[in-house]
Amino acid sequence: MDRSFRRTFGQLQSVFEFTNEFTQIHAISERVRYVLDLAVEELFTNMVKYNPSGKGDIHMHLSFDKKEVLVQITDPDSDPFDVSKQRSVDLKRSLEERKPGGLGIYLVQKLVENLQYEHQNRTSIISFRLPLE
Amino acid sequence: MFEIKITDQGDVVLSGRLDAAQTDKAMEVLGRINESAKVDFKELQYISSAGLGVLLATQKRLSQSGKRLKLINMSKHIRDVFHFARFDMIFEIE
Repeated sequence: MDRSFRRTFGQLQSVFEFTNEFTQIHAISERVRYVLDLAVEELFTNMVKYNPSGKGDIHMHLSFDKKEVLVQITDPDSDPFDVSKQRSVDLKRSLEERKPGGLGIYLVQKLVENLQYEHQNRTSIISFRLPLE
Repeated sequence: MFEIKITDQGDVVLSGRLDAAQTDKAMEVLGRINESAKVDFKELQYISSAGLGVLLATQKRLSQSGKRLKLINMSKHIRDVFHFARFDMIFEIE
């Protein structure tokens, strides 16, 4: 399944309608749906936040086989930002020192499998897999 | 659909989905909390890092006056997110 979304947080509802349609068609478990929604939200909002005036919509492709969900998110106008690269998020800091920055990408890295990033001609392509249990 | 309300006892009840498009609404209500309070997650289906950030900011503000949030009735999926983010070290989760 494929769909494109404008670069605004207001599109999140449409993004979730898209993932909901996909998970219902394939009878995907609640747990996998949660991780799919979380990963897609974190990556989509990251693209919107750091390049709100970029040209072109953000495109999502979801596919399914019996063992896993495959996700690809494409931003056609972006500076390189490798979301698969490990970044320093110090989770052991005290409450006073903790900051939410970077947490979303960290969670994506923890929760999905085979997270990959490509950047060419200003186009970023992020892909990952979600095993079905 | 995300809803947040404060009960007569001063506790917070969350329901629906707390995503990045809902943080202003959550922050506006949580900003009214000035005492230690329970936050009931029973009807909350989903939270992302944006929602975690709102709770973190509230916990930081309350801690300056020795107050804190206690999170209750969390689903397994949400509890897992708190665990991966190590937010279970910052909040008391019942």
